[in-house]
Amino acid sequence: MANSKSSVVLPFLVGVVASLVLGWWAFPKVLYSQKTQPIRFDHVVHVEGQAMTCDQCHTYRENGSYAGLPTTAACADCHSDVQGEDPEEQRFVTEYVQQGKEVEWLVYQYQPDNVYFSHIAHKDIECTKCHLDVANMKNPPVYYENRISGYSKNTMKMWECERCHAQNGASNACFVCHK
Amino acid sequence: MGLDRRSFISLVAGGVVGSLATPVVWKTLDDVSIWSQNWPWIPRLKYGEETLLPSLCKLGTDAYGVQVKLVAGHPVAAYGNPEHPLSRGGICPLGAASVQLLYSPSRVRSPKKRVGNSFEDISWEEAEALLAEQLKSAGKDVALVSGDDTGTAAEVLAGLVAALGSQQAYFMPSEGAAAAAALKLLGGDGLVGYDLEGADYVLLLGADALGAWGTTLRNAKAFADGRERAVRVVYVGPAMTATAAVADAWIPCTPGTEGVVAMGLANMILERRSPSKVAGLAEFRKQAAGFTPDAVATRSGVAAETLLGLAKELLAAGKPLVVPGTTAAQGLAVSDAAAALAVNVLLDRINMPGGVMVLPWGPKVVAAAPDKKAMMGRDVVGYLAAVAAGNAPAPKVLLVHAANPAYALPDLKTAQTALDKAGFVVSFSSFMDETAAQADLILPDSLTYERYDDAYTPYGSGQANYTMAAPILKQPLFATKAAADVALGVASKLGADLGFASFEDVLKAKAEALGLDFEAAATGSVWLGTEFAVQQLDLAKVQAPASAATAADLTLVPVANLKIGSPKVATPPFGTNAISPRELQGKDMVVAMNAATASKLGVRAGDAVTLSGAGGECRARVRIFEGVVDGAVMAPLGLGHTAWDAFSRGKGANVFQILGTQADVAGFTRFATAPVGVRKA
Amino acid sequence: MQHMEFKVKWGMVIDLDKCTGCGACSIACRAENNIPPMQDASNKLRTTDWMNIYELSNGKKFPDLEIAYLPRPCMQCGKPSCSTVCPVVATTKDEEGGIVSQVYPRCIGCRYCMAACPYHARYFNWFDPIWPEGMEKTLTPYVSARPRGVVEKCTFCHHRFNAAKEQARMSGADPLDLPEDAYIPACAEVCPTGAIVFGNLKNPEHRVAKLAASKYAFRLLARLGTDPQVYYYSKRDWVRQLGDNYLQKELKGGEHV
Repeated sequence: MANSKSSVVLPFLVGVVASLVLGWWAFPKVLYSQKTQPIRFDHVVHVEGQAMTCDQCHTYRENGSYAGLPTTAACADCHSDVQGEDPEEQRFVTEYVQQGKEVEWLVYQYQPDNVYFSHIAHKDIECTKCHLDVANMKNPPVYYENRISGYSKNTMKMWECERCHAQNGASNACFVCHK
Repeated sequence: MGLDRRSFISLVAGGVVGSLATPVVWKTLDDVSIWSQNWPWIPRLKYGEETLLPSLCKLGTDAYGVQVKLVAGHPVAAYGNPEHPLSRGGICPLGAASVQLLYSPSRVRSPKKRVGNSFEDISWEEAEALLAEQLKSAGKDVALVSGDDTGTAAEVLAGLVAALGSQQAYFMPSEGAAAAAALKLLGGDGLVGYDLEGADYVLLLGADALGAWGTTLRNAKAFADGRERAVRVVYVGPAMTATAAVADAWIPCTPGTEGVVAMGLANMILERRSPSKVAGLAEFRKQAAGFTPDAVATRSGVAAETLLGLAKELLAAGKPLVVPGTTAAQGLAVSDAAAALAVNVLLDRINMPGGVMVLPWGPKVVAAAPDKKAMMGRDVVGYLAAVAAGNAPAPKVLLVHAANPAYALPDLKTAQTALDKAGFVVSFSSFMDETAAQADLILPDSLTYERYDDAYTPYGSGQANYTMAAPILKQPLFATKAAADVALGVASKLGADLGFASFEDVLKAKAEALGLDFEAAATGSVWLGTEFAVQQLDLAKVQAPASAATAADLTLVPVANLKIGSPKVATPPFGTNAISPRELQGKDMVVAMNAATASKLGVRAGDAVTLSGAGGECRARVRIFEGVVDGAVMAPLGLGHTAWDAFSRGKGANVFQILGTQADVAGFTRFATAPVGVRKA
Repeated sequence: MQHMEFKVKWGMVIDLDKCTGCGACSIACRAENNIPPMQDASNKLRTTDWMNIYELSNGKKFPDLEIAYLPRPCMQCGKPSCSTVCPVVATTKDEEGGIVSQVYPRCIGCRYCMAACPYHARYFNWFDPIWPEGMEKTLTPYVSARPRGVVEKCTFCHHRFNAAKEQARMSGADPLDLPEDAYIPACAEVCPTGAIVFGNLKNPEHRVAKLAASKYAFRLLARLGTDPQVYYYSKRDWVRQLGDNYLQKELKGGEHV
């Protein structure tokens, strides 16, 4: 019975440490599945190589709604035929442009149907405040999908929207964001 | 050194305590709650660019322009078209449900051939070959029944039938045909229209103008505008219809006596004003003299002083307009229409602003086709009755287009007998309607949103008009084909070339005939005619109207109701909720009568009753409603489908089953009201 | 809950002398707001109709009977009874314009709001939202599909308000000072007789404001003090009297039964 004291404290601490490690390191690995974009889109080659601006592809429509990601037809304005050496571009042209198919891009900031977001109402805010800074990435980042909820890991939580609205004096009324 | 029980519990406890400081519990709880918000069986929304494309709604008896909203190229909703003169932004209940109707469970998704008691899906090649073979062996014994009396598709189909040597091409019954027949009776020639926008006093003799009669949406806009200008609208009819509910006055009359009221008014007008330059006035005066205020009051139930009031209002108004019609939006007596027309003549309201407008028949482009005038002059009810009775040869092949004669014809049993007698019934229905369900071959037509379509001057229009609709979907959703294209194909196969390779080409010719740019027409430009034929009307030809069902103690007043359906379509999936307990309770149709009638019949509110009429019996429940004249039973049209889908099948009863017919002048049949019996079920 | 005042008050005036009860508004609403169709809609205790149409009658015998049709959207009450009883703040009246919100993922389906609403404007989803096969492709992107077990109601087509604000921002206009007709709900847009007029009740230039100020305008159960943003209009006395009709033999104020 001499070591009875240590046999309680040490296992307890081991348990605490182990669960902290599991919870902070292993759990996120298990919780999210990793997905890659259907096409390895290179922003840098467009932004720096072709000197394109963001709003050439990510446009507002005439009614003020946001077109978001460009359609295959919009990409085909330039990529009706293969332009360069990149095999991914070649794949895009043959598998999507020539077949008239839309690319099922994975949207990092995916929001569910019950959320309404107006880009034009936020147009004075830096894109990177909410979005990943993909403009400077040659490879699209890994998309982490929550195995339970199905949402993207980068999906903004409601409290984040609310905090920014509160800080900027914008309304936090329910219907500002819900539909 | 083993791990004893104490240490183990301690380890677990440490693990639990530690985990509370990790996201495991909290994140999982949060994610699970989000997961529970998005069950897999709840559909997700699709996003994309929104566009509005103009099209047509021809689901009712009307035809008017709509706008269809597409999201990422897919239609999601239909709205009225503010640019279209016949809708001006309004939409009818069927139009509002039209986009969803594209996916109706009752859509026929591929051609079908009857095999015994069921259908077999076949390819279009096989279906068209079968049609050609049947038509070939039928020779001249071919007939057509079309419900599309505004579209060129019917012209193509009638052209096919005519090219095969048959004259048996019919439209389903319409008030337009009855009104045109009345005009013809008086020596006129053309389509009858009403300049509701220009009138400053509108007397509706039975026409449920805001319910389902004529250019319903345009009528509604004209009514609303008229309110601002203090235009008085008076409704004469046996029941409190949608129109009567908002009209400035409702004058109840015995069912089917609107023509009698018109003659009474004519008589009173003639006593007070003798119009000049009216041909046949002397003869007409003699006719009208029999319709003394007292005689009219006895027959119609409209008191003499009320009638006098109406006559005075008509005479005092600057631009009065008298509009004949029925609550059923069909089955109007030609004699009633002629009597109303005569009143308009006496008031000098023909081809005058705010009056009755005589509109030109549209141009014909399929040379082989019969004139629309000739086709509208034929009575399908009489023809089918003759076939049923063996007085006319049964067609070896019967083509049914945009129509459901196995459901929507009066004296239904007779019509069905005629359909049974036909050798081979071909239905072009987009839906598994009652006619398709008993057809030998179904060649599903595409719906308007999936093909070209057009409409020339729907009945009631104040001026001639033409609207074309290009397909808003790049291709049909299912293996359907435009009926006109099928007809053109089979015609050339049979060596009876109609002169066009496609329906699109036919419409190009039609646009050209009207002096209209095809591209502009296909993108929503509406053609408006401004010419009105000079008419020499002769009142000597007016035949004094008889009251319908005069001998009956009890009269059935069927009321068309677009939210329940039309002769063409059953209640669409999006329409079920709009049907009220005043029309349908559970599976029972609700019929309305006033308390006096009910007590005479010994029935009470909610009682199940059996209605009996010419062709049979049906079940209903009683509603006590004081908006029905004594001795009348008001019943909603459009219920009681036996085919279609779960949204309409087996709900209520089909009033056409008990709706008898009565011979009318000019070879027509009147059936807007009929005798009925009511007894407790 | 504190009563909020707004600069803009979206409101509706429904002219009951023009409504024919045709049902187009109700069906257009269903399509616009993704309300699933029902095969059997005869049990009105289980149906969902954001825009419901009632028939009113003057109660007289033939031939003196008169009827009127009364379309009933959500009244968007100035002092809503529903939001104050919601235990989870799933329904609020807190946004500029005064539209009473309803957030479906937050609703727990307790139905207190339904009991509280004197207008029967709220509906409980008794069934899963199922469309016939393929018809789900006609869902609009405007309103999320609601699961079984939550309450919903008319939102004055709030998404159209959002769309109008986006359009205003795009064209450099003030999104909170929308011109008349820049934002109207689907029901008002499609009404064949134009019986439904929509606009800002606080803008005297808007037709709604003028009509609402008419002596023929009235509100349903106005004496309850819910301050609805939906007005009705009728020149017929009996119609207006029915608007506040509680009891056939009503006692005067202060009396108790």
